[in-house]
Amino acid sequence: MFVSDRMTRDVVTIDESGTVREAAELIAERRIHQLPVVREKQCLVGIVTDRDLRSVHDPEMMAGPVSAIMSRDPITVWPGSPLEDALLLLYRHRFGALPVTVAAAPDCCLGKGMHRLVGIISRTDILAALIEMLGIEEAGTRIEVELPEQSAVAVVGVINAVAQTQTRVVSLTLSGPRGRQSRRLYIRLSTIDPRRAIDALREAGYTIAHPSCDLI
Amino acid sequence: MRTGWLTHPRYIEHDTGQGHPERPDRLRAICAAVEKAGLLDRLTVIEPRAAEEEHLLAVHEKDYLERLEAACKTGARYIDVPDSAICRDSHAIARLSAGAGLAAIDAIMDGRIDNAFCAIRPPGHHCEVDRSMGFCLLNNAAIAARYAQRVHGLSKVLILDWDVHHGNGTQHIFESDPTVFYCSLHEHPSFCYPGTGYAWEKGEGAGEGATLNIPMPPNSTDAEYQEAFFSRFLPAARQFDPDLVIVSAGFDAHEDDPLASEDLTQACFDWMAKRTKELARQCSGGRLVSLLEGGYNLDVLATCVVSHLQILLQESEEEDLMLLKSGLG
Ligand SMILES: [Zn+2]
Repeated sequence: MFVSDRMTRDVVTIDESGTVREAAELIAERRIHQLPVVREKQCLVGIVTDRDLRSVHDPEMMAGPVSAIMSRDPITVWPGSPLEDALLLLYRHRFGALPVTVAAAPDCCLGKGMHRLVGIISRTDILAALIEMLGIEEAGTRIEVELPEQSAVAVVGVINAVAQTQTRVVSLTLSGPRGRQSRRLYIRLSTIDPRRAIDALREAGYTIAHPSCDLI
Repeated sequence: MRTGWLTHPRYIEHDTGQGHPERPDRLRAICAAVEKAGLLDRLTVIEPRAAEEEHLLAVHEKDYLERLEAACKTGARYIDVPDSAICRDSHAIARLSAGAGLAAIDAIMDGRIDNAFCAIRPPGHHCEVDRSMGFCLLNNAAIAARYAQRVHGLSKVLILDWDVHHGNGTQHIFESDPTVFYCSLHEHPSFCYPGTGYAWEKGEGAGEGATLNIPMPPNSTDAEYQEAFFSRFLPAARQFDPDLVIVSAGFDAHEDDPLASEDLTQACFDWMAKRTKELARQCSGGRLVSLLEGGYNLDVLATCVVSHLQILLQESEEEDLMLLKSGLG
């Protein structure tokens, strides 16, 4: 899955000649938290956030240009990047959303090497993608299988055991604490009756993890 | 009380194939136990009829009904998902299963009986408007609720679903309908099929507040279920003040059921049945139709159903007395 699959293409923007007040109104009206600032509609020059705007109290500043308070050269992501790149950037920088850009044409108003805005990707877009990848909203039963080792053979063993029972798999994720040998395979099975799959897994020597009910 | 008993030999002919938990033996076990307990003389036997097309269409899309019929005719082994196994007669039998609730409601409204239990299969609560899920081919409870409203003018219907699985189909059908209150107690969606029924699902639009989900952690006990039932379900149900109570009665939250992980004993199912009957007496003139959903341990299922029937048969005075004695009144 790539950024272009999940980004919003119809981006709300403000021209760099707009005022801080106009930016604040746009953010309130369109219920957004980040507002890219552009020149000639699509050349990205900066970004303002609702937080930047909340810190402006001076009426003179409110009437002044938005370019005075925006962050210049914002961090952007390429539409062809894997979704993981956007996820990492949003997580590391604690951003709410990232402008998605491509290199501007050589005759760009901003000059060579500048960014043309093609979309925006937010935390919510990423969460929606994760929900889809994990199949959380699809009917099924979720099980967690302990993997004794991090080898592909162990994973194949799990898949073979499930395949024997002709159970449909909604999603499959491998994860585990970093630096540890043991991993878990999270599987969502499209059935009301996971017993056959669980029995087959146990027979193949795997352990099914159980929830600790004290924590619920 | 005059309690209706609705079942049909054809329910056994719904062949789900080898090793399928929703199997004909479920009904064989129930019927044998009911006979052995000598209940048949005390029950009012009512023959289910096949639910008419117009009543199915009040809930399901025509497209789905046609798909179901065609799948059975062509000898498909399942419809939509492998869980929902079918045989050539499954379409006809599913209509007969949905029709039991309709016949029960007719008999209650005619004054022939006070309440009823329908020992039916295939079950219904997972079935959506347009597709089958989790063993369910037609949404029996939803079809009965709509029928009660349209044909008998019972305006407010409560559907209580204590099957261990969330009744996604029933919830979605009535999600934006304030006249049908859907309440479900089920194993928490993070741990159990189908993965819906979070507490925050409360209905939509005009139906907001007319859906109540009470997800229970795995390994919940009688006491925990009773507490949830008493403090969360009953007050909401009384406030809704239904004209008819329909129970989606699954017995798979029992500790010995193989499909899920709750730890109820028969005593809890009995307790919930008594409270529900009491609620129907207070709000709905005693009108209560109980429909079989899940329950996959044959012995547990048979014993629980017999006890459920005995509770439905009990006279209210008798019940009051028992409650006083047990200190639960
Ligand atoms: Zn169930």
